[in-house]
Amino acid sequence: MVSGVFNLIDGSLIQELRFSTISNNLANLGTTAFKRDVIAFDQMLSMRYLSQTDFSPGPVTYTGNDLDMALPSKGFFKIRTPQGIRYTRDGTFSLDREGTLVTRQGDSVLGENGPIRISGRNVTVGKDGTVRVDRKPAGRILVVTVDQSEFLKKEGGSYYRYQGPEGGVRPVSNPVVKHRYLERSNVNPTAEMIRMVDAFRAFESAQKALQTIDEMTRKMIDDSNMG
Amino acid sequence: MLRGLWSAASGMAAQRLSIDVIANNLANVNTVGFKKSRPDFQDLMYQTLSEAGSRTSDGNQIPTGIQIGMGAMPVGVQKMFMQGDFKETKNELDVAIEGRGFFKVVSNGEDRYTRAGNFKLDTDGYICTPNGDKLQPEMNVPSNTVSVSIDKTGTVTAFDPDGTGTALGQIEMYSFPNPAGLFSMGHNLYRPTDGSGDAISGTPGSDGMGTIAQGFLEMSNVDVVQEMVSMIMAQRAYEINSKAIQTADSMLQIANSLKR
Repeated sequence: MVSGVFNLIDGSLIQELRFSTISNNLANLGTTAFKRDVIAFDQMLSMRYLSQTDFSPGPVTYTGNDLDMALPSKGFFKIRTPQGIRYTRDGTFSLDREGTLVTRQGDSVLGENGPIRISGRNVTVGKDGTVRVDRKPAGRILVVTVDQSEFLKKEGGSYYRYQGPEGGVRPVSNPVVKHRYLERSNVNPTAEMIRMVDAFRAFESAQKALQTIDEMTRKMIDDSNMG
Repeated sequence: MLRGLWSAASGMAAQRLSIDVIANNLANVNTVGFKKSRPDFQDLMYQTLSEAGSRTSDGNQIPTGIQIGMGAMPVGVQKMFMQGDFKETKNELDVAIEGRGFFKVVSNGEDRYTRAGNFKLDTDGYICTPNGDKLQPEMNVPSNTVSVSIDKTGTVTAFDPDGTGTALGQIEMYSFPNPAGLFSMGHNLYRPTDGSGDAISGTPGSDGMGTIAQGFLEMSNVDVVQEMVSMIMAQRAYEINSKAIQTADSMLQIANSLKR
């Protein structure tokens, strides 16, 4: 076989992965605090590729909802789930039956001293993350940073799992929390659309090249039969 | 099949839900006491093709693996209980709540809560909603009443033709730990759920419940401009996801044409 065939097959598969990633980014245009993924590779048509998450901040917009929070700078909220600690930037919080501040999945949002209980009517969150209920402090939202964000694995539901060495997640000493704001998706539709065209055409070119190789091989077989 | 095809389809479904919610908000732009809704989305699960930290054949450690997302999903449509605008009606049974409280009414024998203060009198003289659900605690306005006054704290007084006032009672108000968790019943009524917590009773003007304004109605809190912007965004996002589906279709066609 012509050795180029395998490179072309790999190349097609990579373009398919790129396309799937772009498609997922586009599907999450409206997802709160979504971070887009990219497939990166060392060299075109090589199998050494990986997916990376682009943690650049998304636009922060006002919602007016008392339990919406956004992190305008780097950092994550720390969440306690039955499966262990998870991190998220999605600040669409609500309360459970006991009045504990929880995420959409019902997992408690951790403050500096554990879960935050809200029993009262008037909730305000200061810029530094201090939660006040009816003007009385009820805890402070814990914001952490991750030294190497490539160790964060996406789990869906806007959660990230940390898989790196211990001590790589540290609390931020001066957190900034924007109360009644939410961070939007950081997907840029124009840029994704261009990347989609790019992936599509690369996929098409690989197919054309495969057809050419096929054609050449056929010709070679035919010619040898004649002799 | 192509993963991206399904991701794009889930994106289209998500944006369709956005449009549904926006359409309902816009339809209720003049509904008394209406609270707008907002859809919330999250990313679906990820397929891990290679784990972070695994080694390649030449011994290099891959710093990150390959994770392919499977699209988006709606996780909830929540009500936004921001204060709506006040409209002066001068109608003495129109009341608006300036604050976070709810009125309690009894509908089909069940406790329901509402922010719509466009009350009427039923044939027996009870104060009720336009659907006939009685305001709690029940208050009966005597038939010889010429005017009714409701003060800031919800005390209802009926005046007879001689100008003598009779106190009929005090409107009670209720609040919830998490109003966004209330279940919308339609007809401007809400039902408490596990997510909202139980109703906490109070009197108007106390405990942050808010005060009552007679002769005013709380209008819908839908902001038309904001909804239009959301609609444009949802429509374009729907469109772009449909393009991704078309691209996936073309890619599959190309793959099929490999074998002649």
